[in-house]
Amino acid sequence: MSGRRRARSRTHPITVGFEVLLTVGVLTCGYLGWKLTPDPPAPPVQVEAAGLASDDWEAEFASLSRRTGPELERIADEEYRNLNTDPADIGTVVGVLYAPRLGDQFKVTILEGTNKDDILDTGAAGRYQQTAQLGGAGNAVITAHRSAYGSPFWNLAELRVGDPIYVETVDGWYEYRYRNSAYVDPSQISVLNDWPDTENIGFDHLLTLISCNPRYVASERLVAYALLESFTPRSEPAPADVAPLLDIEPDRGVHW
Amino acid sequence: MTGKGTVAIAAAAAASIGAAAILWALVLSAPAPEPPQVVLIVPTLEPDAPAAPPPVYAAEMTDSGARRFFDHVATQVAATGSMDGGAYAAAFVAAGVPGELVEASESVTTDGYAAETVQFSVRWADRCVIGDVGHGTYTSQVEPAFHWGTCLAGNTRPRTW
Repeated sequence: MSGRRRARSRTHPITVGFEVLLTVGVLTCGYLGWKLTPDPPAPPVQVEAAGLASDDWEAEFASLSRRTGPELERIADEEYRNLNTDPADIGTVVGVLYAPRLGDQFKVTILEGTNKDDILDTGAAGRYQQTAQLGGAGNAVITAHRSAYGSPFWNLAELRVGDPIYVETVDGWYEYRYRNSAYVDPSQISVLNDWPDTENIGFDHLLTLISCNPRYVASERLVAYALLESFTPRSEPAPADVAPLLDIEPDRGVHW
Repeated sequence: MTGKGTVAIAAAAAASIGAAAILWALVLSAPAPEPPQVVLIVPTLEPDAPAAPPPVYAAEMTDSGARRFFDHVATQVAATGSMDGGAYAAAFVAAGVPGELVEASESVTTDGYAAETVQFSVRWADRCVIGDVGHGTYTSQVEPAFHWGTCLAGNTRPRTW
């Protein structure tokens, strides 16, 4: 009797120690699984974040007032500037991003704002509110996760000069061409300026995609710059790269 | 030691080692996106007439002429497997391009990692030829210069050429 009690008391602390290790191991694996993979029901999440009852993102587009006539012409004009006097509410759908280089059938919702919990962690891309409007003159900046929560920008470093990037808005499709990248410290917020890293006004229509670098480490930022090439109003057929993707739900860009 | 204790120890050790291995693999894999490029696959230049002289730099060139000159210079550097934007810039200057018309992106990131792609450019008035090396290949494009007179956006490599 006493011998058995002694034996138990000898093994007990060791067993506890290793069971703690076991628990830590299981929790670590679970955490990695949760952190690195998207939740299965992907598309509706961004819409919930946008506070919409419908899970049809096109419904929101349809509900917005579209520009027509001379006003629409202005959008393709080099001089066009939207002074951002009336920004969209945080979390609303402001566009859809297409980029063949970033993945097969890459189509990701762009939400207004860059809040981590409500916007980026849903797997959507976020637009920096203080930057130019999508498609407008100046520097329109959007960001998304590189290696977590669906990893929409997992392939951001794969972009090569001349690669097309499309932003769909309520007005139509803006086609940008990737130009060059920079790797910067997270403190270098001048990349958000109207003309990056300068105090100048941006006359060119620039699209800037920002994500974390390196993957998983995320100690710096990868900044990819693209210049507007053309604008296709909604009254015309969608660009060839975009047309086959129009009927699929925007996903979270998981391609790994 | 009881059989239960042995099982617990074995399971705990296996789980801990497994988790540690996954974490370590992630940490190891992340800092080095790509090893320095050794072999670049360089597209063959358009077959010139056998005796065609190599393209020569001029301050005014057509888009196609500028790109032919640009590719001629850049592919010679790319053939060495270089991911050093400064080496491409130096080659353009050596081929007669004024240094202030040449730009290059940084080859090393702020934290010391190798950039996965490197861009470099030569500007002809309001036109740019932009080269891009990375992922084992070289490619180039002719694009308009930006309003403020550069071919690359944002901070680029400080000029040493």
